[in-house]
Amino acid sequence: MNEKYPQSSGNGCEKSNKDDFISLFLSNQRRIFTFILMFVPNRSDAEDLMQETASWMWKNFDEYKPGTNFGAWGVQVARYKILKLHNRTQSSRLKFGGDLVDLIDAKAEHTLDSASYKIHALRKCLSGMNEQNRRLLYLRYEEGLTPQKLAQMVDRPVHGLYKTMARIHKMLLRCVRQKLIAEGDE
Amino acid sequence: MPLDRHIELDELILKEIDGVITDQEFAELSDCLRHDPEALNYYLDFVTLCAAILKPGEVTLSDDSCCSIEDIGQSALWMALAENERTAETIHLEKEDSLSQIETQISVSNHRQSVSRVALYTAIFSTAALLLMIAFVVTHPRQSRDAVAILSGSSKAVWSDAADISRESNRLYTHSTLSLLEGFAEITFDNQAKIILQSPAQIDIEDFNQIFLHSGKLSAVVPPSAVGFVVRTAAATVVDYGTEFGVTADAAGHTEAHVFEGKVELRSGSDPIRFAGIMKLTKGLAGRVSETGELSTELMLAQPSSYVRRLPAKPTFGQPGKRIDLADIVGGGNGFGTGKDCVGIEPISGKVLKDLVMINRKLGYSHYFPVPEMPYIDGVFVPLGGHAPQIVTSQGHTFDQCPITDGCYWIEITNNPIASISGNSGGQALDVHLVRLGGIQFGMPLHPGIMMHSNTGITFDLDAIRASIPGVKIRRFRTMCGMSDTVIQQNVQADMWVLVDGQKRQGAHFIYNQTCHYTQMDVEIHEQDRFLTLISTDGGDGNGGDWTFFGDPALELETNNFQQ
Repeated sequence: MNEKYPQSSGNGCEKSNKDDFISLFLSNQRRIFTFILMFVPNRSDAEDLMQETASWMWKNFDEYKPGTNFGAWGVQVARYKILKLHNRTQSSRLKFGGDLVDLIDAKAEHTLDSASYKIHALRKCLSGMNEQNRRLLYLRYEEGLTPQKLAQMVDRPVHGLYKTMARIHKMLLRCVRQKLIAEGDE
Repeated sequence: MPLDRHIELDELILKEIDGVITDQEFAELSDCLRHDPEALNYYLDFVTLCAAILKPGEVTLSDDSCCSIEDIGQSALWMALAENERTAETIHLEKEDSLSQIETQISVSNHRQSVSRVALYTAIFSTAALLLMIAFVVTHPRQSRDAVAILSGSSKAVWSDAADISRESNRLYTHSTLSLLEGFAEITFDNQAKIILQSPAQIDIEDFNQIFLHSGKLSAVVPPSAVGFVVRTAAATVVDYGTEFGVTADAAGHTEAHVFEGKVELRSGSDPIRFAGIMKLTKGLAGRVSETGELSTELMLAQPSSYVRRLPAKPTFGQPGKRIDLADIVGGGNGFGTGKDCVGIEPISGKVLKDLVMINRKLGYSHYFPVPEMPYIDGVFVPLGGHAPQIVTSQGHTFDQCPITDGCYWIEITNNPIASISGNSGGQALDVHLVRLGGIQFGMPLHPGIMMHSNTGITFDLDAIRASIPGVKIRRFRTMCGMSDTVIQQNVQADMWVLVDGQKRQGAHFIYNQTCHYTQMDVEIHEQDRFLTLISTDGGDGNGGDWTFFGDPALELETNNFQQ
């Protein structure tokens, strides 16, 4: 992973309307967040990093040249933030090693490029999913109940809950994959 | 790496996302991603989907019928969890058992006693081995395996020792590698997709609807319930859309897909989702992908007869992994029983005749004729000798020792080894019978033959045959040949020849009742040999009564070792 200070591809002469920032950011935040999550899969850390990235982009929005790829710029900024995080938390056990970071970096953008197809397929898979599974995903992700909380609510071990959630995710990925294969989408 | 192996990877990623992963689990996760490229791809896809679910607005997890938290009481959630556990697929964690056995062995060997030095060294080595095994299990997330198919039939099948088939139930699991050394095997998936493997073949069962063909040949029938069935190879992916098709692949990745019914997609590269090119193939068409994953722009005609599409009902002479039946190839088959009976090839035109004319004295004229209908036959001819070098291959190889003949032959070159006498004026076949050598009757499933009444020649394309059966070497050509035991004229003479690339490798001269009228021929075949030619000539006395043929004509095979 190359450590370079992020610069937009624009010349910075033309001031962009900062009102545009929100719409550009919203339409690209999933790409940027996905990129961060690949390197920093801890959700809480990833959210922090996302905020830092957004904040930096906001402050330096002048550097962005309208019409260029905002998502790519965001990913570049995020990459810089990720490296900074890794450098300042040398002892963190939650940090992927440098060689693994390079491996992820080599594949990350390609994965991002195909993400929209996967999410399209994911929507179809979710709509075909049985109600129990969807309910669990809903409580976990939309209502934000932690696995510990969910497990506590039903007096079940957390371990069992993770197994269940892992099965659901596996099922979803399998479904997404089948749909992509069948549609030859990429 | 197939999805099922990731059940524990899923848990680790989810725990990491939630920030509850332990140091050891994080180390396991990192190690797995670092050393397993497919696990890394899986991880990236997993994270992509999680990000989509975590970010509001990307996907919807609720609709009108589901799922306000107020509507979900404890019992409903509990039931949801319980239902999920009840209906979840069984997951086998084989290594868990082996680990617990190891731990048990360690814990019970804890009392002192005097031991010999040999026993001590053995114990040290054993302990070291155990530690290595434990280290492996700890550093590699355990694989789960699902039963997804059954070995539903086989014919003369010989598996490698490592073949992973449940002896009790013939059930087949994901992540198993099956190496078929000889014969055929039929595998039926739970979704009713069915494949017939022709040896030598090595496959991985990757998922409930997906296999990886390392090398070999298979045919597949995919009903609507299994649409989307995938065959991956090292350089290509075949995706089915409800059809019947065949796939041939070698270890380097050269892949061919032939469609017999319906439609498939042939994609460049072994990733079924990410690919650079695509070729849609419909019934009757075939496509090819190079070892570098490049799709050939040339559409080919499918060759249904080069694939075994149902298990042989009876034992056949040709056996995958062991020997190719050249008589079956003369019948338009692949050498393993897919040819038709009673097929003739006219040596003066190369035409394939389905209706043999029993008595048919014709004059040939030395020309070499290709046989376009038969992919493994290079050409046929009537050897004339004397006038000009006799061409015996499409590459212009000549048979310089070809004796002078009268240029006449009686019947076509055929896989129906029969002889007859003619009635007056050659107008009627009398006493039609199967020929014999040394009391063995040929023209039977286990004793096929190629009737080559004198003054005919046929050349087989060894390279084309090799290309059709990846993973094998052709080692020898073996046959019994001569004049039938049933010849009725005394002292008739004939010569029979076996050439490789135009060079005589073996020849025999027969005089009925003065010499033995048949012999065994055994010719070594080298990897660079391209053409095998069989010839019968009239022995200098005309072709009358020369009931000459090649019995049990076989290319003997040697299977390359599979990579484990």
